[in-house]
Amino acid sequence: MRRLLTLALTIAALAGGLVGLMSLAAHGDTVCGQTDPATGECLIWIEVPGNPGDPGEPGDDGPKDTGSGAACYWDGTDQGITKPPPGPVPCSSQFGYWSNGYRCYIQLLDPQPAAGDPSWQGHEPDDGAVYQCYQPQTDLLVLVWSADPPPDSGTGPTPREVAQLAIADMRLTAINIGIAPKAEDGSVGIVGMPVWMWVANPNEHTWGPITASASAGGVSVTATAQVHKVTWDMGDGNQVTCTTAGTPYEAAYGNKKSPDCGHVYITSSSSESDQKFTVTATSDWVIDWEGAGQTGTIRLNGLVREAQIAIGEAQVLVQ
Amino acid sequence: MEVGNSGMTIFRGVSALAAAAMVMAALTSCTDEGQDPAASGTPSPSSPAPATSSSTPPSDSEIASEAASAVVWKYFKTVDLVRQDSNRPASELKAVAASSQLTAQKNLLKSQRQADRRQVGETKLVEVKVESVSLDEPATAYVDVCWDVSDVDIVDGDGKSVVTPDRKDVGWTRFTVTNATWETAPSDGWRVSGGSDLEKEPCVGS
Repeated sequence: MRRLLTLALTIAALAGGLVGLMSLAAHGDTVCGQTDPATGECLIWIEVPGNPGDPGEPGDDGPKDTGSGAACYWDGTDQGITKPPPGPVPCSSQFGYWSNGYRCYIQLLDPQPAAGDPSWQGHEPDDGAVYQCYQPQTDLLVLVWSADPPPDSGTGPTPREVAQLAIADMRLTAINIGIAPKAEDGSVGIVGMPVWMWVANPNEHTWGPITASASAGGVSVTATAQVHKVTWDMGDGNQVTCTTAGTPYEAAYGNKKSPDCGHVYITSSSSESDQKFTVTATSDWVIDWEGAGQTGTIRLNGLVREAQIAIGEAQVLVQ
Repeated sequence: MEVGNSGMTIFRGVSALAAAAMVMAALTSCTDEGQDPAASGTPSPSSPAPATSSSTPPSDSEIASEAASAVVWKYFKTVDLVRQDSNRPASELKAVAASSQLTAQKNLLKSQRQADRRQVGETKLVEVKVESVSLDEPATAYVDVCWDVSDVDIVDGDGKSVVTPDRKDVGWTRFTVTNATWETAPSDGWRVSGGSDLEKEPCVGS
């Protein structure tokens, strides 16, 4: 079926009208079922035997479209049809329900053609049914045989929901915390001295960017995820937001402040549980997705890692 | 109930047959400019009286055959009219067509009007033959039509012909004519709901 409409659409694009579609028969799969006497143009197209199994298949991944996450969309760009541009379409109309796979409104042909009609593609009338496939974007009307009713895309997933599947495949995780002073026993920071925070060993799963694709219900979506910011809760009532991965501390930096992600404690952690501040780093992911002709953004803000650091008063250390 | 090859061939100009009488009545009423073809499905009092069944009432299949062929005639007339006159609403087609046939006709009409094209001349029906009738729901008749469009032209806004050179002047179409309201409207509920090209020997054009 994809090939059928591809052919039809391609020729429609080239010819810019139904007159050009008269030559469609030479390409196979689709022939003119009924010619309009007065114009000589094809009034109704039908599929013909040749690939009997194909018409019943709703098509694999749907093409991209634009919009706001609508489940039903039109996109003819891969057939060279740019007008109308890709975009959401109503999931139902007077012509039936929309099928992303067929790229048309589907309606059971009523009444069904007589046995032996070419639109049956050699099937008996008790084997499947003939459907009217109408594409308002091109005014193409094709009679198609299908063993089962073509999928109703209005009941399928939205591109955003498919994007969520892609995100699941990314296996996004919280960052590995890099912090100075180190989050280990025996390491103690000093009140008033710089604390450095950074993303340790960043990779595509902890920092991005990472790209994944998913398909469902004739909708195919590609999503790219990147950490937008990390919110550091320092455990002393302060939060620090860093939009970079931070800079790993090195001994050579001495008492310098982190150039992009740091903090200075003004109280010690002596009164905290275990005498340490619990530092949490929450990743705020931004996932841009595009697919089914649409684009969108998903914010993911729930991946948290924590560490405990000890901060002491300087005079205590002197003692 | 099947009536195969019922022999109800209707030749243009022959009004002796009952079906032709109904058809001609429809045609006569449709010819008047500005009249709604949808309102012309019933023979007028001045229409020729059916020649058949002066003593025997027509059977259901005969009624169906006559009505199906009549709506085919009316269908062609309505299509001609809406294509000739852009002021006539496309909705007139609803009185004679349904299903994919209606959709296709409305689409073609819309594209023609958008391109500022119109039809001149009228389609002649050389032969209208009811091939079969089934009164199973929905009541369905298959009607073979030989048409002649040699007097028909499609012109653009400048009056220039835009008809494709390889258009056939004479040809056959097998129409599917259905009546979803057979029980309640055995005569008025028929619509052309589909059709397909027929490969037959060309009929003799008029």
